[in-house]
Amino acid sequence: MKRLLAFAVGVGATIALRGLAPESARDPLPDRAAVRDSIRHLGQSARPAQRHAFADGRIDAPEYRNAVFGRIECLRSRGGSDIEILGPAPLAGGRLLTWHYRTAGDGAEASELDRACATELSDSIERGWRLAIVPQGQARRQEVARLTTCLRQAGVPLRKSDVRSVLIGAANAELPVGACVDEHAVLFNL
Amino acid sequence: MNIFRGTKAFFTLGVITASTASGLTAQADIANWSFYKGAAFVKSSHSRDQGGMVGVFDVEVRRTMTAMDQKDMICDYQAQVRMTLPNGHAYTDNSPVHNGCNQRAVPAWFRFREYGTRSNHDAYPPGSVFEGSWRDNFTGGEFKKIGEQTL
Repeated sequence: MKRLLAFAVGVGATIALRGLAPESARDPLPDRAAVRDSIRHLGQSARPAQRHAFADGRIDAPEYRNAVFGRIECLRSRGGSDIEILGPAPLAGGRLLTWHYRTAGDGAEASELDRACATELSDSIERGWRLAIVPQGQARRQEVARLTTCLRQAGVPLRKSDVRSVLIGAANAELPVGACVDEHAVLFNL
Repeated sequence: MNIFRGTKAFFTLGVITASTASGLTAQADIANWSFYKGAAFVKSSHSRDQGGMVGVFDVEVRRTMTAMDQKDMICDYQAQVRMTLPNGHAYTDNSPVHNGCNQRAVPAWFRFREYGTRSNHDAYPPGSVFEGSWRDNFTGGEFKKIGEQTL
């Protein structure tokens, strides 16, 4: 009987502690302070061609767009006609841009060109923008709620609705849910 | 899950085919549950189109860490899918290189939109091979095959 009681107490304590778990354990996305610190660090470590965008301590939409277009143009000019660039196209209601490229063969050379162009022209700016648009506070709760609704409408069973559970639930979904993820890509830090 | 431990080369290739009511469309997934400290998936839908050709659409690649390794971040990553036709000609599609890391426990994801949707997509000859690969900090920066399937 004592063992049964101890077991029940243990289960109860575990459930209670899980309920009191800090929000950060259930929400892996950065808060405002972390975003600010990360952008400052990115600005300090950015390549020369990208530093100007960090001069005012923030990244804005035109700087992000210019960086992505510059990267794509770099790949196009260095890769020539062997690389077919598809996009860019808007993601997350135009808050982000997506694109990819097609090559004949294994595409290894194109990948290295892309990496070089990104490192030189855009990666810190892209990263800074993605951090800057991660929703905070109530906006985050609303974004996660909309993603949850989208996933459930697509047939994904989600038992919990905290940020971590929803993101992992999306990744483990058996069904194709790329449209939901694209619409809420600001949560996936893509 | 212990069967996966210590067997780096081992992977499970799961092809899940779920025909729709019409019998013309199927979800055909490549699932690699032991991909470099985590899992990786290539999701796609296939249809039997006119002339026996196989339509491929709704293509996306996902990468997650296992629960015990979610303290690790997915960094410097890139997704790749390749279609090799029976005559040997190959098309390789790459996502942009993603320099930097995702937040801990946040999956990495890329949807290859140009493969289209159920209502608007290309079709390929039967016998074509569709494969997906991924690279990140856990693969040493090298593309590693997630899996493949023959149409």
